[in-house]
Amino acid sequence: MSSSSKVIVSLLGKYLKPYIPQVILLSIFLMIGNSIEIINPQIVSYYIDSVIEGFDKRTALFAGLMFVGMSFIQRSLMIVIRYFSQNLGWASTNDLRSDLTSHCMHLDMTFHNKYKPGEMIERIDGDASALSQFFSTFTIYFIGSFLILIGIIVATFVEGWIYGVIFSGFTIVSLIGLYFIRKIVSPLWRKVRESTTALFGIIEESLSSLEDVRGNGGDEYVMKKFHDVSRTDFKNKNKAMIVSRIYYLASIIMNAVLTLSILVACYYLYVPLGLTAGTVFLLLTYASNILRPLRMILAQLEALQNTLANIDRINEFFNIETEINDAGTEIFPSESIELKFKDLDFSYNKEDMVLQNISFNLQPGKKIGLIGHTGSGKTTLARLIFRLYDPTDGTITINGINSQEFPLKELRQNIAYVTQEVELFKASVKDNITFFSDEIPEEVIHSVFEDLGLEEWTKKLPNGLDTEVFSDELGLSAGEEQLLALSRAFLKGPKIVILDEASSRLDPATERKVDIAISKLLEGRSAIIIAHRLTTLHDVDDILLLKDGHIIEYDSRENLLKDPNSHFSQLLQKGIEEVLQ
Amino acid sequence: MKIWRLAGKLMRFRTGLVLLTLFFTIAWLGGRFAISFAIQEIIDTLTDYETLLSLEITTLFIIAPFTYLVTFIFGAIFDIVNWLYWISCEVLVRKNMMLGLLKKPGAQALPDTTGEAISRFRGDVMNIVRLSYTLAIRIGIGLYSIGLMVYLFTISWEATSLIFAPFALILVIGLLGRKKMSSLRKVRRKAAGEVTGTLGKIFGSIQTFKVATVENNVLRHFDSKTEIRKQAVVKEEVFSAIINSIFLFSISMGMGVILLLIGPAMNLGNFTVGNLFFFQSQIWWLGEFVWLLGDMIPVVQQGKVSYNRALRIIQNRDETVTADAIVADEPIYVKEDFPPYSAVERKEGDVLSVLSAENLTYQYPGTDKGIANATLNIKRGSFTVITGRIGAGKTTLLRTILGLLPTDNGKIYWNGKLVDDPSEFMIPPRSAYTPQVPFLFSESLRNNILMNLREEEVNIAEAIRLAIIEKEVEEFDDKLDTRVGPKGVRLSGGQKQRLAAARMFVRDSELYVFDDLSSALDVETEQKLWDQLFTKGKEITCLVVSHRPLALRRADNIIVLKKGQIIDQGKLDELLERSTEMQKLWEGDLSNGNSTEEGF
Repeated sequence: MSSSSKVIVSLLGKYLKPYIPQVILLSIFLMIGNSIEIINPQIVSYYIDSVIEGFDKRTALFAGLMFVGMSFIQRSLMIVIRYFSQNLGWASTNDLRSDLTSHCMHLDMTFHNKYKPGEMIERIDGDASALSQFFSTFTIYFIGSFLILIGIIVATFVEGWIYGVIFSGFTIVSLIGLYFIRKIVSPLWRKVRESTTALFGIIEESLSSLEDVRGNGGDEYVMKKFHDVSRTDFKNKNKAMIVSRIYYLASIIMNAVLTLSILVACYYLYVPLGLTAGTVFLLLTYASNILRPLRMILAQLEALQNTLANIDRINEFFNIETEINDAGTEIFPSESIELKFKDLDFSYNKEDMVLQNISFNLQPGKKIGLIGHTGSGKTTLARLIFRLYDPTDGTITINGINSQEFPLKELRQNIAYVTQEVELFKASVKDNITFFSDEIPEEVIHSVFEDLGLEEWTKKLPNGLDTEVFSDELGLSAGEEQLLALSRAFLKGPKIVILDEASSRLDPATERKVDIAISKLLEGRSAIIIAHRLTTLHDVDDILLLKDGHIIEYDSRENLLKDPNSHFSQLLQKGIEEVLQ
Repeated sequence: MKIWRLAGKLMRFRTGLVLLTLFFTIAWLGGRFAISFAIQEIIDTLTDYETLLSLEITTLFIIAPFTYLVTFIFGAIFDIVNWLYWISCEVLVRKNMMLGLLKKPGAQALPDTTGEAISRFRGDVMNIVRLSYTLAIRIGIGLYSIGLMVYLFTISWEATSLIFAPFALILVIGLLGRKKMSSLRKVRRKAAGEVTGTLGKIFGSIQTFKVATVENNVLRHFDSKTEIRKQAVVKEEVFSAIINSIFLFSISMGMGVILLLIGPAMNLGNFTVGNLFFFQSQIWWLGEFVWLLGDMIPVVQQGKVSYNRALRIIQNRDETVTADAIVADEPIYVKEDFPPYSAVERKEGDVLSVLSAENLTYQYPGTDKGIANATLNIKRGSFTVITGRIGAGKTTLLRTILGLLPTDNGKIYWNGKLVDDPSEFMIPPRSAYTPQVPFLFSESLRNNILMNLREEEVNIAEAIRLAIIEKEVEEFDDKLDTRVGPKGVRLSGGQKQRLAAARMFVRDSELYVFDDLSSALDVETEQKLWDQLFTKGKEITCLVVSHRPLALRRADNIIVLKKGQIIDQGKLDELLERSTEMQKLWEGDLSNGNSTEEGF
């Protein structure tokens, strides 16, 4: 608890700091709003006493209007307070979300392979949202409730020390009592949350499994699973509800004890102390008003406890550090670049080698065709070039300099990676191509589009480059998506291109367009082409054949063609498909 | 109106609980009335007014605690009975939705994504149940409020009638506010969806962004989405604070009106301090009643929408399912266990001699994709292969035969007898199926294979052997009890498919149907699979999708599909001679890329 609370304090401090004026303003509103809660019963009490004494129209009118006016201010403040607190909660946690997202984005791929996007959403947005609830309401409800509590106790002391003692004694006893009851009750509700989550997990599975289940007559299996988890959920809910009634019992007992003890005290003191009817009324009103802040304080303490789990999880991510160090200072050469793999070994888990003893040499302006079965290590090889992973052994050098000596940005900006997966955002065409950069002028984009033969297409867009992708205005065909992805590579003006060729699913016309665009991109650049089709291999200089992480053939295309026994020649005979499957 | 009939039907599902809820709502409120009344009497006795009952103060002090006790008992029972009703109805409605889904063709059951369907199981079920649940409580509060009003009138008819003026405000904001509220909530949900969507995109495509070194740009995009959501949230929250404030202020106004009015009466002793306290503690319920009155309209509207959304989940193509199915009375098994699985019985007519399809036609709604006029015969003991390019309709044909997709036209005959509902009929012991992308439950391998079968009645070892997953199962620490999924082992695509094949083989069936195995099995494994299967001794009938020479050579009949039409059928040699499409497929026309079908 203590280390977690330290973390809470440091998080609160860090993310609330920019919003200190708002916090102060909020506290002031809170003070005013809460003091009305104390004042209003006083008005009614004053009214009663003065009316009983002798009816005076002006006093009655004054008191009535005061009461309504005060209520009006109080309720209006509630709105203002909500505005400020929500703003505060979400603004500060948005900062946190941003920091956390940025931190995670810069972590290495080992981290990203561990967490599915869905989990990342839960861990970043889910946890931060829980915190924003906490940030925005905790201060208000917790501190606000304390203020009311103190206000009421002070006000009762003013009426007479005996009442003050009754109220404060009551407050302490009930805080302790309610705290222990919550300890009994809240684990039960936590269990309910778990079983409800499990229930929806099972429903989701069932919905995804319909084809398998229906095709194999497994309906009853799905229904049994549903009923089993529903039963658990039902029983948990039932139990939680019944046991929670203790809580209701306690609050009703508290209410009874306080109200009746006030009344008994008043009965004995009415005459000796010369109590007025107004005072009796006032005390009774306070007695019923004091329950709400008491409950609120405990509810907030519980929220605090739940938030600790979220904070721990957030912190866990912040504490992970990337294993790809980025300390290089070399500047990427501007021409005649030679990329070299030397005795490279690689394994994702330090046990099963994915690549072994890989050495080859990509000379300036040359192209290597990389072929092999799925799982032979082609994609891994490409990833190593970008330092998405670092080799277990051996080196990758660029003009003799170890690629780790370059800053990551330098390295990645000069090499383009074109894959078959096209990742588009629900954002404008321009933003999709520039990745939300404002630095690239529209003319540059247009000239790239012209090169790619996309100019015609652009003209048809209703809002030009600002047209949103995936909207009603603009659906994209697979080919157009490919072309957009390619234009990203063009904008980069890379020195080397790594092309993980799309095993095409395009219609012939678009495919031709894509092919032309690709050959333009490759023009005059060195490239490694992970090939799926024979046609692409016509243009490469060297062929590198991978099998189970080893190079089994590496030579110039010409030499391999000459040798009828080479794997490559056989490949061409059999058709690439059978072999590469 | 229909919605009321549905709500009524759901109330009759647990009539007892509904009546108890109604009774204890009134009883509980009566208890609270008694408390306020007792305090009123005590105050008035204390302050020397004449009281209604003129009881001794000590008697009152003895009675008062009992009013609290009674309130607790009634209140607790009220909470429990209406909660029981609520959670029972939830199970019932969800069950009925599940049952409805399982009656639909399996491959096309959901109207939208799984995630969207889940929201219907969550939010829409809540709205449906709330409509029935809330009626009893609202009627209870209504009846109580009427009684309360009568009593308040006897105390002061002026004050009582005037406090309703501000309450009109509650009614109006109740009506107007809820509508605006739901549109603001929609905006908020959409904004939230974009935040999570962007986050999902970022981490789903992290490699792309890393390689392009645009992490910072992408982050800015994310920040803009969270900012938009912040504004949407603040707007909604402030609006709901406004409504809440108006409600509470109206109640304060009611109190203010009383203060303005009762001065003279109080001075004369006709309106006592006790009366004032009583008003203060009970006025809330009048406000609440008015609020609930106005609130009923949106509750009914939401109920209607949700009934429709739930109906969409279970609606079939002929639209013969009605919303009554959502609230049909069914056992919910919350106390007792689910009954044991029924045995798979093989009747005489189930033994396959020939399965035939005539003019099967199915078109995916809104597209020109599908199959048309497919006619074919599958004889006992034969090996039939469906082949064709990507998008030719191979999977569609399989699914239509199995009833996993509905048919627009055409008939299916089992041994010459018309099959009325293929989706009910094409299951074990007649047929079993391995889809192209099989689904495995996050459960043990054993449960995944068996599903609804009883282990002692089937040969699971044989199924595993036939599916060639025996060795891998042996290597897992917990063998067949190894869990699959996030909490267990991660299986490769090939392993999943072989497990699904085991799931199929364990259902000793007349016909085995495989969708393309080649994307996940290497050639040798597939070879072994067929070899084992056909040397099993028993007569096996298979229908498979494949384009591998291995399967095509073995086939007794190859069905060549092109653009949804069967363009030829026969043995491989015949087809290679006469069908240009078959020739192309055989040679592997790479430019059409029929080598990569996964995912389609």
